[in-house]
Amino acid sequence: MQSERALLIILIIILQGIGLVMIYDSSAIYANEAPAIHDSDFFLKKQLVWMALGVAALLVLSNVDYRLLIRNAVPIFGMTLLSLCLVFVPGIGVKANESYRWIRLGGKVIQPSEFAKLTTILFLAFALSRSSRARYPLTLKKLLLPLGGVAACAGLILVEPDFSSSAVLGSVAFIMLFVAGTKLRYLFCLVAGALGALSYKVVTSSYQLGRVLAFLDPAEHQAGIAYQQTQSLLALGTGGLFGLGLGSGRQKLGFLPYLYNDFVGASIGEQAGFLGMCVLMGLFVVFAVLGFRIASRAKYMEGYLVAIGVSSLICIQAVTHLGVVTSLLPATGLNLPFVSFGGSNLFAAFIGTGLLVSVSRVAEKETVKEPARALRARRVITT
Amino acid sequence: MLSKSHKMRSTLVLVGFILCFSTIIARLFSIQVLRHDYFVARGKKIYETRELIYPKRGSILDRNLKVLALSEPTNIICADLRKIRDPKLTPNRDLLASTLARLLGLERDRLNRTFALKGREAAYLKRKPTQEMIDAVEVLRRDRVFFEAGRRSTSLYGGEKEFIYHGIFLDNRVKRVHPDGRLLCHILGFVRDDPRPGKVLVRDDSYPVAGIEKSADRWLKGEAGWRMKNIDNRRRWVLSAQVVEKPAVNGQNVVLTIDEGIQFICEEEIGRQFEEVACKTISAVVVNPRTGEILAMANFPNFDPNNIVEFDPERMSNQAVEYSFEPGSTFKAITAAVALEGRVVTPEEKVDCGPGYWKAPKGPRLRDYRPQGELTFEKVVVKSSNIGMAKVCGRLGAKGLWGGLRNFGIGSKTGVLLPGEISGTLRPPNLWTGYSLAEVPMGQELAVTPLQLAMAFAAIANDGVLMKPLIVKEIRDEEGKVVRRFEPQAARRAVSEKTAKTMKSILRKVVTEGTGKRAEIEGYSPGGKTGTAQRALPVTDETGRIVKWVYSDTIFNSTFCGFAPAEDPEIVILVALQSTVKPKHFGGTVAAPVFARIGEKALKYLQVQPHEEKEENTRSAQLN
Repeated sequence: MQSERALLIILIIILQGIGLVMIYDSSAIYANEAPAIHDSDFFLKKQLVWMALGVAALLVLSNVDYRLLIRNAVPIFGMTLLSLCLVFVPGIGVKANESYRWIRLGGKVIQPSEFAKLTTILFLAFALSRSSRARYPLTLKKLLLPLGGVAACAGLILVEPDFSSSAVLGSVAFIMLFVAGTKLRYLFCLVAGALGALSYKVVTSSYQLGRVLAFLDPAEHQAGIAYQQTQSLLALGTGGLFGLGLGSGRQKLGFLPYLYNDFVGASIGEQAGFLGMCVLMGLFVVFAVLGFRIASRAKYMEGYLVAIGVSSLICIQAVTHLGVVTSLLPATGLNLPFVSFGGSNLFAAFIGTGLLVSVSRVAEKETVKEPARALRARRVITT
Repeated sequence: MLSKSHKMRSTLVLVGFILCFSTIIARLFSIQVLRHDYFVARGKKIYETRELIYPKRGSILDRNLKVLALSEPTNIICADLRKIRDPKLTPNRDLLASTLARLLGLERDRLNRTFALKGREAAYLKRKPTQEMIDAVEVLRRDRVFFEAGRRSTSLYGGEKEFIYHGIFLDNRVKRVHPDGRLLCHILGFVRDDPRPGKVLVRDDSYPVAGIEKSADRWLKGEAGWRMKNIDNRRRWVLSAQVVEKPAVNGQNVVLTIDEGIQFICEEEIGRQFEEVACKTISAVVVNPRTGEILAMANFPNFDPNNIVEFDPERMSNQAVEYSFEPGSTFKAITAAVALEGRVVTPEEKVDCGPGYWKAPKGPRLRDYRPQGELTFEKVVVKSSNIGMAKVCGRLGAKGLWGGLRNFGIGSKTGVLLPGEISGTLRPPNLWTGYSLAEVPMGQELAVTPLQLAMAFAAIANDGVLMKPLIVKEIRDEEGKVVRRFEPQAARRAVSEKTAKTMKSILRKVVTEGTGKRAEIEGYSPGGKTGTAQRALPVTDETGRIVKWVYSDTIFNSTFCGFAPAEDPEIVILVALQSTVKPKHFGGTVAAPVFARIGEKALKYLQVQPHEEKEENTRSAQLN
C-alpha cells in the first residue's frame, strides 16, 4: 500500500517534470514576443508558483482523513455553486475570449470549474454512499439528490460557456453512478437524455457546429477552424518515431497557438516522437491502474467512490486532450493533467492526488489496526 | 465491504480507459510512423523556405586582361511607405521629404507624391546612389531630430537596440560597372534588371540586353544556388544548426580579342572625324588577318553604358554588324579578286574604258568620274574605273560572280559572337537583272556589313583564306584559369594564294598612285581601296508611301578598307562613314586619312617594325 503511494508520487513528479520542460519550451518564444508580456520565463514562473501551492495542498490533504471532507461535502458543494455564480458578477468575474470562466481572488485568477469537478466528486461520494448503504441497488428516488447536484453544477458551467468542462464533469458523474451500482436502465436513460441535449446544443450553437463540421472534414477547414488540429497533426507527423529532439520543435515558432496548454501533447509528440508519446500514455495508464487499485482496496464506500472519481477525472482529461491533439475528437481546449500550463487545473490535479493518497492511507490504517489489536489481545492472554 | 458487483464495474471502467489510451496509441502510430513521410513533406512547405543565392556575374576583359565590365555590390535607397505614413513613427513627413530631396537630388513634390502612393507599401527612391548619398542616408536614419517618436525595440536578450529609423532603408543590389565609360560600349553592351514578371528588381545585372553581355551570357551569368531556411509563422528566418544549401556557381570571365589600346586609338580617331565631317555614323573595324581576331570595333555616335537611360536607343546598335550598306568602289577589290581567280582577266590585260561613259548591254549607262581611255586591268582597279570593272566582270557571268562573292562570305553572316548580326544582301543570280551584272562589280545592288567587308579584305591579306571573325578569345574561371579557348578557324579558301598576292600588290598601288594616296602610312606601305557610293534614298508620294528608291547625288557612303604592311599584313582596318555630304564625300579624302592615322598608331602600338630599309632595298633592286 505504501509502495502504491510512493509510485503515485513518483508518477506525478515525472509528469510534472515533463510538463515544466514542455511549458518552457513551448511558451518561451511566444512569451518573449507577446507585447504585453516580454518575458520568456513568464509561463514557467507562473506554473512553478502553482506547483508549489499544489504540492502544499497535496501534503496537507494526504495527512487529512478524506472522510472529514465527505462529511462537509454539502457546504463545500454549496460554496462551489456559489463561486460558479460569482463568475458572472461584474468586478469579481473575469471575462476572456467571450466567456465567463474565471474569478479574481486575492490577486490570482482562478477557474472555479476546475475545482467544481473535485467538489462534485466529493458531493457524489457523499450522496451515493449514503444512499447505497441502506439498500442495494440504488432506487430512482435516491438518485434525485446526486443527479440534481450534478445537473446544477454542470448547467452553471455550461452557461459560462465551457462546454468541455461540463462534459468532463458529466462523464465523471456518470462513471461514479455506474460504479456505485446504479441500475443499467437508469444509466441508459441518462445517456440517452444527455446525448439528446448534447446534439441539440451543438446544432443550435454555430460555434460548436463549426468545430464538429471541421472535425468531420478537416481538409475543407484547414486554414480556418481546423487550423489548430491540422497544425497539431503536422507536429505529431513530423515528430515521427523518435521525435525531432528536445528543443527542436517548430510549432512553437508561432504556428500553433496555445501549444503550452491545449496542445501540449502535440509538442511532446513533435519532440519526443511516437516512443515518447507511448511513455506518456504509459504514465497515465499506470496512474489509472494505481487509482483504481486504491479504490478497490478502500475500506469505505466513500473512499471507493472518491478514488474512482479522481482517477476517472484525470484519465478523462488526458484522453480528451490527446483525442483532440490527434484529431480523434473535435477541437476543444482541455488541459493535459499535470503537464499543461494552467494554475487551477494543476492545483485541482494535486488536490485530487492528495485525496487518493488520503484514501490509501485511511484504508491502510484500518487494515493495520486490526492485527495489532489481535496481537495485544493475545499478549493479554499469555500474561 | 465492496461487493463483487462493485469490483466488476470498476474493473470495467479501468479496462475502458485502457482501451481509450490504446486507441490513441494506434492513432499516434498511424500519424507518426505510417504517415511520417507525408507530414515531413508537408512540413517542408510550411517550416522552410528556399532562398536563392545569386551568383556573381563574370567580368569582361580585353586580350591583355584589362577589366572592361564588372559587377559590384551597391545599395539602393528605399522607403517603407507604411512607416512614413504613420504619424507616430514619422511625425515630420515634410521635413523628411525636403531633406531627402536635398540629399538625393530629387524633387520634393515628387517625393511627397511617392510617399502618398495608394496601394504601395514600399518604393525605390534612388536606384544608383553615390557613396555620399549612402553615407548621408545612414546618418539621417540615426538622427533623432527628424524622428523624435521613432520606434524603440528591445532585442531578444533585453536592452534597447540602437535607434534606427526604418522608414528609409538601404537594400543590397549589384550594379554593372564599365570602368572605361563609353569605350567599347557597342561591343560590351549592357545589362538591366530582369523585366520578366515576378523578377522585377531582383538584381540590376541579371538580364543581358545587348553586346557581349548578351551573346556570352551563358558563361557570364553563372548558376544560382539556394539555401533552405527555417522560418517561423511570420516568415522570419530562424537559425538552425543544419544548413541545407546548394552554393551558387559564379559566372566565368570572358576575355575578348579586343585590344583596349587599339580600341582607344580607333575611337579617338573616328570620334575626331565625326566632329569634322558631316555624316550620320562612322564605323571602324580592326582585324588581325591571320587569325580573324577582331582587335577593335568602334562606332560613332556612342553612349555611356553606365547611364543608358540618358541616351537615344538608336545610338546603341552596333553598326559594325547590325547595319549593312552599299559599299561602292571599295568592293571592287573583292570583285577584281573574283575576276582574277576566275581567270577571265590578267592584271596586265588592256581594258577599253572608253570616253568615260558606257552603256552596258541590256544594262545601265555607266560613268567614270573622268574619261580613262585604255587601261590595264591593274589600273582599272587603281583608278577605280566603273566601266572597266563592269566589262571584265561581265565575262564571269552572274553565277560565276555570285559564287566568287559567296566564297568571300558576302551575303552570309560571319558567325561572330555578337548579337543581332545581319547577313547583308546579295541576291541569288536568278534574280539578277541586266543591271546587276554591271552594278555588282562596282559594289552597288548589294549590301554588306562593315565586319563582312573587313573580313573579305582580311581574306585577301591572309593569302586568300577567309577566317571566321573572333571576338571572344577565351573563357576564364574566377581564379583566372583558362576554361575554354577559341582557336582561329578558317571558313574557307576564298581565292588562291597567287590571286591574293596579285591583289595585295594592286591594292598597294591604289595607295601609292591611285585614289587612296591619303591612306599612306610612312614606313608601313599599306594597301587598300577607297569607296564612294551614292546612297539610295527613298522617294515618297503625297501620302508618305515610299514609291521608289533613287541614288542621291549629294549623300554618299565613304569607305576605305585596307591592310598594312601590304606584303605581309599585320592588321586590316576598315573605316566606313555613312551618309556623308558632298563635297566632303570621297572615300579617299574622308575615310583614307582616318585609316592612315589608326594604322600608324596601331602598328606602332603593336610594335611592328617600320621597314624603310626593305623599301630602299626594293628600290635599289629596281634601279639595278
